[in-house]
Amino acid sequence: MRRAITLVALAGLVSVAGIAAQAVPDNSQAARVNAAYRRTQNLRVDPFRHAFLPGWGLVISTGVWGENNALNLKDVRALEYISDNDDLLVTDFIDALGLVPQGAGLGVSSVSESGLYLGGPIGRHIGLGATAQVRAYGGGSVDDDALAFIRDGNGSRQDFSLGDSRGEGIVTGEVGLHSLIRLGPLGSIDGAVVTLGLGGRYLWSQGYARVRSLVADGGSVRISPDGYSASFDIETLVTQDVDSVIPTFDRGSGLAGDLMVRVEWPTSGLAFEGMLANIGKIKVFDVERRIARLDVVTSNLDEFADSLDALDWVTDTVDVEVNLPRLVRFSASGWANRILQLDVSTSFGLNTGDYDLPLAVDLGTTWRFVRALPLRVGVVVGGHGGFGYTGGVAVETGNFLLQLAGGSLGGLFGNATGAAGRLDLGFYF
Amino acid sequence: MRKPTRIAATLCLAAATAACEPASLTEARNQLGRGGERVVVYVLPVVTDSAKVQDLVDSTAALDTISGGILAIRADPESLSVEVGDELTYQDVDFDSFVVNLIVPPGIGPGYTIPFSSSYDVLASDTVLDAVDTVVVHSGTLVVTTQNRLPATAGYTVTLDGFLDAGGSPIAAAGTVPPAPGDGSYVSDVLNFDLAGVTVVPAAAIAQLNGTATVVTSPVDPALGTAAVIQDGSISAIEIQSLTGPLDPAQTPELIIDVEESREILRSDVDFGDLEEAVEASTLNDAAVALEISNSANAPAVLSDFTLGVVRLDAFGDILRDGFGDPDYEVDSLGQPILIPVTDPGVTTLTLARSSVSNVSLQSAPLADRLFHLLLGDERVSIVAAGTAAIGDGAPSRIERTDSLAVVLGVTVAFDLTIPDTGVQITRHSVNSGLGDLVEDEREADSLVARIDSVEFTAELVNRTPFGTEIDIAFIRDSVPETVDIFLQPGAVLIDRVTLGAPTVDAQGRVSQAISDTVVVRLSNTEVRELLNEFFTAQARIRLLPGAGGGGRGAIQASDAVLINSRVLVQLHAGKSQ
Repeated sequence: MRRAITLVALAGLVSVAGIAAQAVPDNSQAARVNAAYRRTQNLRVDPFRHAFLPGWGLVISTGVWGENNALNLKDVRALEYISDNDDLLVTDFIDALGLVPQGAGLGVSSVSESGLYLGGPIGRHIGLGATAQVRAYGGGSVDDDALAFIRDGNGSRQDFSLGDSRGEGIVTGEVGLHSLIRLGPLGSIDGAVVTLGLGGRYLWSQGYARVRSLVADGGSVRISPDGYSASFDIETLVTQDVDSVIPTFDRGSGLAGDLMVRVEWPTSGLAFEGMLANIGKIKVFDVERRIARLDVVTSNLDEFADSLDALDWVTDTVDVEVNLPRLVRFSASGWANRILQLDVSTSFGLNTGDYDLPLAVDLGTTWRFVRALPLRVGVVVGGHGGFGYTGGVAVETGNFLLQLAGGSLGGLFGNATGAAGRLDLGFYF
Repeated sequence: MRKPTRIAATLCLAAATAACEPASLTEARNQLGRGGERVVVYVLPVVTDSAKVQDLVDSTAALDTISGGILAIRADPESLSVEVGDELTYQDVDFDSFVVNLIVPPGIGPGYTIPFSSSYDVLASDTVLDAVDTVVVHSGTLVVTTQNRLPATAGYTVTLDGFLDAGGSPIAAAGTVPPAPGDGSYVSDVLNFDLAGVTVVPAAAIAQLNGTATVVTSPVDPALGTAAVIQDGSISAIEIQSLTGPLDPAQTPELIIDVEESREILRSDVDFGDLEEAVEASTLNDAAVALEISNSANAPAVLSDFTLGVVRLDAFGDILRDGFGDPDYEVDSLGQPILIPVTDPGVTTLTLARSSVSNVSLQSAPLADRLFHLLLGDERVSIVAAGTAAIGDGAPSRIERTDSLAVVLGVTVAFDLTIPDTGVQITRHSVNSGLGDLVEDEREADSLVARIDSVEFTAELVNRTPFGTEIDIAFIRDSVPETVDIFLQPGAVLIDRVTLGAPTVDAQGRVSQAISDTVVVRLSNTEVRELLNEFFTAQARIRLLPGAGGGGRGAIQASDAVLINSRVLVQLHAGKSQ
């Protein structure tokens, strides 16, 4: 994993380094774009998204990213269609199970956020902004070992397990303060500008859920012609009364920090950035914990079924400390010519707990035929979907910001196994 | 939380809308099947177990193991009471007559009185009562007749010493004989003594006769004084409350009693469980009757010609009788009554000591076979115990009217059967919960069945029972009454016959070598469809076949079982090409 990350990062750096050699005329769109807009917006989580605002202002922002590795939009639509016009049959689910890639299991992740940002620059070297938002993370996986029995039967294999099956979701309400310190240009007027970003957020838990195996490797399930054996522990954690009024401020809280460093050569448009977000934990109060343990060895189908029916759940209430899904991102960007900016970034999770955040590389282009009306097109490689497309339009002026972007993940449109969308609307003074 | 969720949902919906909506359900389902066709095979163990034959005997009767380890059922003990005391009766006890001679003076006239007083042994001629010390009478009457041939009124009293009332006093009575015509003829008077509760001491049975004759007419012939008064008596049949003394049947034939008692055996008393049909079609080779006979009398008894037999009952619950009034016992193939003599070993009688309990065990396979076959055929039958009981042996004894021979009869029937070469058939009918819980409704069941390529049930069996089997199974959806022959129903699923080989048995019908076999039952998807309902009803015709080497005899041992290792293989297809 680390080797792959390093290779992808190096590849990005090399490609951008090549771009750095290209000059753009001073009067080109590239040269006249406000420095704040040169940091291309990413559809993914970015706590410093609005810290680069060109002036003091207010931004309303919302975004969602969700993907899986099995069902595309046509599949989802087919399920809806069947559900609306007929009944979903067990055979429909049997067929749908065939869409889960063999050997990979089922993976799902989503993140959504919505909030307000208020801030702006203080002089040339300081930027400051406050955020109030709600963010939801959800993700999980069903290990191929857990799906294999139902999907493939046990004609050729008899040993199964829950494997790495797990799922986690958390919703937080947050207030945060992010600051930027700009240093430079260093050395000369064309020298690098180094921007250090530091932010902190105070979070209130709104809801939390998790399911996982307590036995290493997901325990074991053996279904052979001679008999059945199963040994596993399952734990579920669910916030009680999750349907009650939200927001709430008494279900736990936590702190999170975000770090960023960006090096930019404004005259050439070349920039490198590293970001580490979501460093922190949140404590969730009064979570209902249920644990079930199954240990059965039998040669009798009825006994096996009875043992599943009689699964004894032990329930209690606990406080849970949750690691936020820590996000690492390396980015690079540069101008290819007077109207085209190229961006590459790689994102991956670090100590994400049960939240699955596979490595993904975003390659993006920004076309500024009209300086204030950029068009964005890109591709996504990795993640749950494999290969996807992104695009967007924006109005980026000195007093007004409107960014609309979307992504078709894992395929194009109907064949997409995920989707992303983002809307930012801001006003500056 | 809700706001971003709504926004996310809106964005996803927009993206989904951009995707092509299916034009039809077929297209939608094809879309879900785009993962490609695949064949899925499930191999599920069903049961690995040991099915003991004795578990088939879901009997209310107690299971037992007899000699040789043979499984047997022990029917609930039946009780009958042979009321010997109740049968004791004395018929026509001899009561001696007595003549009183009076001296009649010549020329006596009216008003002249002649007193008389005599006593006599009233049982002097009796040999029956004399053989015992005391007799307490339950019921009976002593009639004393007094005659007079004088033309005089004879007033008299009779006191019977040796006939003691409840207070220990001799019973007595007074009477008056009217005057006779004086021509030599007699007139008489009768006294009736109720003997109920009277204790008779034969050795002290003396009648005291006292009275006075008062002349009422004259002249009176002095010759009439000879045998002027005659007293006689008779005791009709008396029932005995108790007898005490040296009871000896040789001296007192009344102590030899014919007894006959019966006890109906109810159909519900017999329960062979699932083997009932097999028993009905077979011959029982081994059954034992255990008798526990309690003699409550303080007198020994000897039972002669005492037998147990089976007799059918009529509609009123009375045992059937032949032309001689004897029980109409069931007969064997030769027409001979099936009777089990109840005797001590080596003799033809059974002696029961006084106030004792005796146990007798009798081999009674023919009787039990006939009894149970009649019961399984829903006939009403009784076990009849009949014979002769002789009370006493000459030694001092006592028998009460309430004394009896209480017989507790326990039947133990071994599962030692002889079945015909063609076997015996057992039919089982059961309404079962189907696999309907696996599916939502009929459509889903149809859909699932359409995906099934085959279902194969395999059972590896080790047969350690004395029988082979041929099993035919038919099942049909829903619940069907037992009276319906599912094999004949349209739409019923008939499973290919399953044959399980018979093991080798020894001469006693016990398994000497188990046999292994594999049974495979294949169901098509349409046949499986019948199981995907809330209920299905199955009928099985199980033909038990005799083991090899036992001449049709099969004796089930407690350890006999079929070892089963079974699994089901389900193959279905999924994916787009469907």
